[in-house]
Amino acid sequence: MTADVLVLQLANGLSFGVIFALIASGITLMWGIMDFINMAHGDFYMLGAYGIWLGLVIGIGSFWLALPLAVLGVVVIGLLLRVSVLRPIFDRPPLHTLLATYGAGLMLQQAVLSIFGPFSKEIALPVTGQIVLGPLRYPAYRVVVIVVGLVLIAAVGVLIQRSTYGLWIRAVAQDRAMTAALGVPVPRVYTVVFALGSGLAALGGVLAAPLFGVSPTMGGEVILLAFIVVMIGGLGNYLGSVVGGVLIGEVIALGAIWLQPTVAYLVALGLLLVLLLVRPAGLLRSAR
Amino acid sequence: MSSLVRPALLAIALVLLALAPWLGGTYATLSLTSALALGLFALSYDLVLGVTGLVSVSHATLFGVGAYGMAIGMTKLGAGFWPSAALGIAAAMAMAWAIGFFAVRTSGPGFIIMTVIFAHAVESIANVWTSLTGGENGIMLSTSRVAFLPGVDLHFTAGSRSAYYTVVACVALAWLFSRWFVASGLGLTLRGIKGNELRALALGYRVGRYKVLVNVVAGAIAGVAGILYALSQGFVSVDMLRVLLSIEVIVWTILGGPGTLLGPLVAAVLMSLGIEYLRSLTSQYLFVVGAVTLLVVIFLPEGLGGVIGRLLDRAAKETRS
Repeated sequence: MTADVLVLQLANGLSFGVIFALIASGITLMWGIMDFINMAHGDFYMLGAYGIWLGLVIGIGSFWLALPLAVLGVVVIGLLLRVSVLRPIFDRPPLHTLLATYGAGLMLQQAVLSIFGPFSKEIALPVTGQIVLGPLRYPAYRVVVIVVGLVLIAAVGVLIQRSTYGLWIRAVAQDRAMTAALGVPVPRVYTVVFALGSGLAALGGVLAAPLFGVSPTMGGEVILLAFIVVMIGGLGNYLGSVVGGVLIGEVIALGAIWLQPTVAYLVALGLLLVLLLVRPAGLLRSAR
Repeated sequence: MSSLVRPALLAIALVLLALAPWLGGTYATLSLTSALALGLFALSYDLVLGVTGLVSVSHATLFGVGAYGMAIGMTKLGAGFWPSAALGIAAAMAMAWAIGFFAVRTSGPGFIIMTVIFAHAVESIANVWTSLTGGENGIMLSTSRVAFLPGVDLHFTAGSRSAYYTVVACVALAWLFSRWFVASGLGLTLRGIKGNELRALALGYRVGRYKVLVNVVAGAIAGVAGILYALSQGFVSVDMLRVLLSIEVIVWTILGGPGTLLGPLVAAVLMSLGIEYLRSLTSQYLFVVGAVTLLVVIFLPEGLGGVIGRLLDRAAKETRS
């Protein structure tokens, strides 16, 4: 192994990590604010990938034009789910929302399977060039993934820290009853968080689609890593999920130099187990 | 009157259970045998969810690991039935201990998520480690004849009556054991943890250890259930330890009434027969399974027992007024 391979895999790890972070941050936000474990989160990611594929197939010529449409489409589906089946059970214990979201996710998966078929679909890279840096050549699209992902993650972070809604979100996370008593429209805060979370996962799916292809089971493949990331970052900790995402992305990418992909997943799991022994509250202390 | 209804119902159920393989054909016997093994699986989960109030999404992992342990012992290691079964049960218990050990280190919903992580991880391993698990194809069990006792062979060919009665006997034993377990001092502690975990902690109980313990006990029974299910089917596949099955057993337990032991057992038998029938009708049966999961949570969170109880109460009030 040469230093080139190492540098390339480190960069690949960053692009994986950004995609994991996009999924995990939604899971962690939903838990932190709504005490809600979303088992359908991987399916939002899958729907995002199908959204961009569909957008390109029906003739939206540009990837970058189809991207916001795909994300918006998934957010609409997520909000429909929220008002139709999840609203009546939002105050129930986590077990009930977990089962409901699993059931909904299974239905989404089966619907996609019966409409689009079981076979994986390919999307051409929207950015084809290579970035040349001294002796190293690196696909430009992966750099785009890293930049777009990080910018949007940061944007949501700023939204949470600086905007009125962000203030409300953090207030609900700390004390829901008190926040409601002070006049904050808690249900609307939930809706915003649900939209943000599903949008971030959809964006992850859109960005991942040209790299990994599009298939009905892609959500299930990534959800294990997303949950590991969430636990490493500390449940409910937004920044933690980003740091954890990048960390796990690097573990997977560096592991891929020597190991099979599934074994690399197990290394990620092992990392989490060791961390649980040393720091049970997560890498960064939980924000809750 | 109600004092007569219960023993009468119990007697009818027992007679039906005893006669079932003579009334139906081979296929009906096979379906019932598998369904009863799944009922045993749900009974063991009730100790975790119903009695202790622990939400674990990895119970099918224990069911499947038990079956794989036995299948690997019989086919790959060439061991006899009893050592292989012991290997399967030990593997399920070890898995239950490992999941519990790490899951109780996290707080609150971290427990749930850790069980989700383990369930997904074991499912991917079973899919990928083909030299051990046969991957998507699973492991065929070559032996249909099991040396149960010296001189007594059980025939585990599909739909055999001896297989059926073995499973019925195991279910009955496990039910008696579970009733004793719940009523014992240990069971009281577990119910105390469900009632108020903080208080149990404050009283000096090592709640984490009890949680791991109940997961291991239930894991052993789930391992037995997995072995019986695999024997009745003649093979072990990844389907047995999918997260989907862990979710289904939660739904069955809720439907049957958590903590009632018999309720989840009956619900699991009926629901799994229903799914089996559905699977023969449409390849889209998973869509229906998802819809049922959703509908049960929204409309029947107290289970069928809760609904029937409420209806009876209402009827009693109306007759009184």
